[in-house]
Amino acid sequence: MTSEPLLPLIAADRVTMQFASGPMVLREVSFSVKGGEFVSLLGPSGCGKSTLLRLIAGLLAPTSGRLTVADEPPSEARRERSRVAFVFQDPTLLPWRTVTGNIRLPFELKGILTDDALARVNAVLDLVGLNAADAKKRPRQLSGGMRMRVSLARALVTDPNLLLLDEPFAALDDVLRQQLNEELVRLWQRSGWTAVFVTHNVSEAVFLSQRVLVMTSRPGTVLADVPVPFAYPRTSDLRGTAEFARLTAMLSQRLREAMS
Amino acid sequence: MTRKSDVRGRRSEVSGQKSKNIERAQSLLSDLRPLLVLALGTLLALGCNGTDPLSLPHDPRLADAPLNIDEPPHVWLDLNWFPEAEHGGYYAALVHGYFMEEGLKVEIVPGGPKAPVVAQVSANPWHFGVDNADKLLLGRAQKADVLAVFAPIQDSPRCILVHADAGIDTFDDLARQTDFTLAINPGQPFAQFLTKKLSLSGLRMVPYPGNISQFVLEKNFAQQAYSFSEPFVAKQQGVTTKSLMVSDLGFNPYTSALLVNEALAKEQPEVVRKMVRASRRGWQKYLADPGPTNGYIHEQNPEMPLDVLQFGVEALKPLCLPHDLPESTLGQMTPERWETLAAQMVESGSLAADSVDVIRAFSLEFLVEKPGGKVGPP
Amino acid sequence: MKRWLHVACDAILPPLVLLVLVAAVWQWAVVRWDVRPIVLPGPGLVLEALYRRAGDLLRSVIFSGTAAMLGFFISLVAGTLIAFVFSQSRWLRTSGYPYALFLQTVPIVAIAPLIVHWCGRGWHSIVMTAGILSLFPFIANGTAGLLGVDPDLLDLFRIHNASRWQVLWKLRLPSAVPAICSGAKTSCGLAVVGSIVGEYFVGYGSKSFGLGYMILFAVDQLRMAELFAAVLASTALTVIMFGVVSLATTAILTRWYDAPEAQGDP
Repeated sequence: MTSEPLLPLIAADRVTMQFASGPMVLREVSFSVKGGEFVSLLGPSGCGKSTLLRLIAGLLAPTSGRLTVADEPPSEARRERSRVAFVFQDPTLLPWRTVTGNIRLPFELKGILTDDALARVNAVLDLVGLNAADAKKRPRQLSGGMRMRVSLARALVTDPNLLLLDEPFAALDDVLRQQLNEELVRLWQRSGWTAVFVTHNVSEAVFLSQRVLVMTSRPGTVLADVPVPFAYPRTSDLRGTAEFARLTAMLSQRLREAMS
Repeated sequence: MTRKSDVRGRRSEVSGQKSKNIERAQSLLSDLRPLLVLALGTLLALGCNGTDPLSLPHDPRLADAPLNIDEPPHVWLDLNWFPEAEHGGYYAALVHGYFMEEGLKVEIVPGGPKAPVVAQVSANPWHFGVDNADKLLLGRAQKADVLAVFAPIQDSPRCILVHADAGIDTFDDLARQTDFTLAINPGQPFAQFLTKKLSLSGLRMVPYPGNISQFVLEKNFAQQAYSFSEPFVAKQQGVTTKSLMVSDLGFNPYTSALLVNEALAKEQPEVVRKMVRASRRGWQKYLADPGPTNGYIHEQNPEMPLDVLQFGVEALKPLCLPHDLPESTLGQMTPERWETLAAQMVESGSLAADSVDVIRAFSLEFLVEKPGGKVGPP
Repeated sequence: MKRWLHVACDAILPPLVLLVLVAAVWQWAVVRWDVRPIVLPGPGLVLEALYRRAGDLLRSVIFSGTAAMLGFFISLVAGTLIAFVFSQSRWLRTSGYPYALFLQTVPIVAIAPLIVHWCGRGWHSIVMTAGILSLFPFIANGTAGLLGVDPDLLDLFRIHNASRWQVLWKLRLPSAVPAICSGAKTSCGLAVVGSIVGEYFVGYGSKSFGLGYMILFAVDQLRMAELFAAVLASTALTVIMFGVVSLATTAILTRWYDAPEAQGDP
């Protein structure tokens, strides 16, 4: 079941975020994301990229500046027009539910637990590489990588328009991370959702995205907006090419600048 | 197809499991070994326990307070309740210096609900106690080596208190009541006597609350009481009462008797004699002139007002000296009274039959001035 | 089967050996210092009393035990409900918590007259004292559990536009179950205490009686061995209740939560 995804536009105009307890986390962040794009937010730890992601999700409101998703404030957009999904750094599963129980949570919360919905749950299990036996397990019986797959499945089950990912693979080993990166890109290609992917791993950002936004350390702001010209579909061979290495090196350099 | 290596493997698995089990058992045993050794050793030592302590000629605990002529022996008097009129005579002996005159340094220790007087006297030879005869018999059934030597209150003040306007004049009236609450401690010997004698099954039995606040509020309420105490307190709160005396039904244990440890009585009879003598003088004084003593009691127990104490003394007089017996007979006991009490307690289930040799529960020897002398009018 | 045996040996044998040891020392002390039964009965007399009063003791254990269990369940439900309320409103929490705290510290002696005044005397009042005494751990643990939810999970629910009720029912409550379970382990002992001590003040209006009555009766009769027997029966009741609650909570936690026996390798 593929629906024509609405094309959200994320527009940030001089967004500033300052928490009541003190530090200014984001300062005058401006960027935009077109519908269907895959964009990475690359920056050092603590630069506010997670906060920015949460602003886009409508979980926080900016102190000043304007942030819209599909021309609406993010929390409104979330409710009405665009389906937003969030993949956290931690798998964030409900430990008392099975894998299936976790994945169908979004449908339960919307109150639309129909046969179609259940079929969709099974389909998305397949999509992220889990089998029927896994579906009955509880999170504590799964490895870290499998838990992340479940988290991803839950995010994808409602066929979102906007997928926000907050360093989801940071806790996994390199091999697994690369494998999941490849799967993620494949999924994106098939479904066409817009993605904003937060990471501090340069090669991951380059592999996945069409554009990389480099952010400075706190207070975070956009230092550079770097296009990634490689074509899709992207396979693991890409990582070995010279262009890849060059781009990665260049971005690493900019990242170093960002940290100073 | 099972190959040799499979079988070998499985066998070594099994033997591996077996040796693990053995290891576990061994480690468990080694952990327990010191405990087991200790346990066995203790049991052995027990078995080899030497002398039978009851045949010791001298109770080593009495060595704690050597009698020095210049130093009066320090003894304690444990009371069975908060200081009240029922202890008046003993307090009078203290207040008017009769104990001191006998060369005894007496410390009166107030008690309270469930005060374990008999147990205390059993455990501490230099402690005397004040408690009722029925309690003593219960204690002796538990091998308490305590005896009664002086009984100032001859007739028991134990009663069931009812509202005067409740229309209850006798115990039979009480037993016939419906929708009625009786606050009584069912384990007390007098309570067991009442339940045996009357059929109280129609009444709602609740715990004795220790005060009369519930009684004052509810008309269909009766509770255990002492005839010289609660009635006056109730009167002060505007409630007229009637006391149904348990002694009228025949249950009449000596009250506020002086209790002493058997070892002390055996090894320091003079001390006991002095104690009895001073106590008798104290009770005689208290019945005649209670003022100063009541003042002292009130200090010790501020919750007990002076007027209630005064009322108490007045009500105690006929109980201490019934039938107008002369004062010199204060404190006397008879074997018949003790035997009757024991029989009643066996019948009502407080005592197992043959659990108490009643004659050994009391002694009359300390009531006389000199050995061989007689107690009676001069 | 074998594993069971090992667990049983590990858990039961050492305390049993200790018990025998203590009893041996106790008996020795009683004989050595000629301690009379009225002061301290020897273990033999206590055993004899246990055997002789076995029927009454069993009946009173059932009496006090059922009152304790009922009080326990009532306080489980009431405590969780109050914790719900506390978790939803900070104002209610800060204004109501001191009164909940009062429940933990109030001596039974003080509230017993109130209970008698409102509910009369009898088995139902004992259930009340058991319930009141065991209420606080549920309130405290329940509130902590309901509030102490992973903030990411809360965000997850917010992103999916969950209603307040959905958050409470699908997230907070299941999240609070481990805390409530640990509260249950504290509460069950308190419920037994409440049921026994409650009887001192509000009980035996009826024909049957519980351990509180047996204890008071034994004291009034100066039957120390029977007192010990009643106390031992009370201990046994507490241990049984604790065991049952422990088993139940472990079963719940291992089945549905991250229990200690978590496996997790790929």
